[in-house]
Amino acid sequence: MIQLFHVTKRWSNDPPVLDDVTLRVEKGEFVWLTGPSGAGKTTLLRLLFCADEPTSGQIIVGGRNVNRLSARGVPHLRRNVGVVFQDFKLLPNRTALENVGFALEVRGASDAEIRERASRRLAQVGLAEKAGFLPLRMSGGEQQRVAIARALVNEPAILLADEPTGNLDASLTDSILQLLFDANARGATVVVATHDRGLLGRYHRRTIQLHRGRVTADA
Amino acid sequence: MTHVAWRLLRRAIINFWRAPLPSLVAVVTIALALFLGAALAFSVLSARTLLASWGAQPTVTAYLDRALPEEQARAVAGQVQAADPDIEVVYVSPAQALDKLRVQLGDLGGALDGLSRNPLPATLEVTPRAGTELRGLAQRIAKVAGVAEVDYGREWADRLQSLGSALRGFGTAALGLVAFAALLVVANTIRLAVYARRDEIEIMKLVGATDGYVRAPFLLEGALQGLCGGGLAVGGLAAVQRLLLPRAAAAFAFATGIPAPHLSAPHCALLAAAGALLGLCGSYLAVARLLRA
Repeated sequence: MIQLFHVTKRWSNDPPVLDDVTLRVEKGEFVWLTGPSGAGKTTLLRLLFCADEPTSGQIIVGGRNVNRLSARGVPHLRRNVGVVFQDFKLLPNRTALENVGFALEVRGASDAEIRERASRRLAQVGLAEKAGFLPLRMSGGEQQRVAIARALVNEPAILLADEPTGNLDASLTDSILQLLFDANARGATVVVATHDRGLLGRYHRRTIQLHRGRVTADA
Repeated sequence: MTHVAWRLLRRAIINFWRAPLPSLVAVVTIALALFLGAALAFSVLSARTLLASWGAQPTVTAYLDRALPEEQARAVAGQVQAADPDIEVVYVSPAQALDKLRVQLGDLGGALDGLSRNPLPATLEVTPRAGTELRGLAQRIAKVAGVAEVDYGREWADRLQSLGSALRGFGTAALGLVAFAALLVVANTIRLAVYARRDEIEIMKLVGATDGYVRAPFLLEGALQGLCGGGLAVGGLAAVQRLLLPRAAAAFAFATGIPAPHLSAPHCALLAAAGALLGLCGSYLAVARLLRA
């Protein structure tokens, strides 16, 4: 589902943020991407959803070589890749329902379809009663659940999460992770970047360790 | 696709109202640009109309000897006409000349009532066929007995013509400059508003929006702001025309014999369209930079 071949990413003449990374994530896998701050986790995820381009190497996501994607092809790839961020990236002037429906809007779905599917996703993450709330009137955990609902509303084959629990209390972490495990159980390939070693200890899954841009462990 | 277009339009209107301050700044900027541009265009147009009215139909005016009785004066007119069939000669008696002046002076015409006698001589208004050499014609008329003086204003007509050309060049260049400056100012004003919503653009792109989809509400919003700006400019121009310029318009009508150019329905439509286009182009430039980033 995801393949990287000798991928390097560097900014100007600085040392590479990713250095000759080769890895493969199979369809339906759940993978932890871990390492200290600055290890290259976020950069790797950004390459996967085409927010950045690799300096060298090849990346294949969902069967598409992202190096060869045209500018018009990028939005179509992103519609099949759900992304969850540490800072949620919700639109503050739109309700929870509108934020979730936004991912359907850009695909040209009808209003009725948006309402129906977005409501269903919100219910799935336990926020049916907060559909009309603006993000700022919701807790951090609730906002992250809205973000996950938005990432999943298109039923993407791949779900990427960058420190999804980084801004949340420990008590909320498990419920957020459970949503990601549920998505994985429904067939999505999930890659979660985290530097929280406690999570890795509690939830045993394949773990790819990055250090200074290189894969140092994969188990 | 209709529902998508309707959704984008709805989104543009909502964004317009949700950020009233940046929208207002853009509207006022567009209105000012259009107001200045239109004021300049009207000034140039009026000046050209004025010049054209002065120099449009060159006439030769022959002032007749004051001592001539009316019968003889009319005979002189007949002689001038008979000498050249390519011209049209109109005899204007001193009384007709005074009446004409009274009409032209309008409210001030009453001042003529105080004159003890009519100071105006009888004149012949000679209209030559187009292309007639005025100097030669004037010289021929001057030789006719009973003609005291001939005025054909050739030098003045030539000057008007060159002034008209200069004014046309200046007007075109100045309008181009104003349009370019307006576009830059409007684009930068809208850019500030767009920059404030860069997070929204980033999120739109992250969830798979195409550049066209991201751009569309901003373009519609820009066009909407432009339309409002155009409306405001029309209001401003109408107010200036109604409240501040009636005297100038009367003076213009007096000088040219035709009404001053005024704001008509097509002008209003043109201003609104120009506003929409300005807003559209400004938004396009503003969003293009963010999309590239």
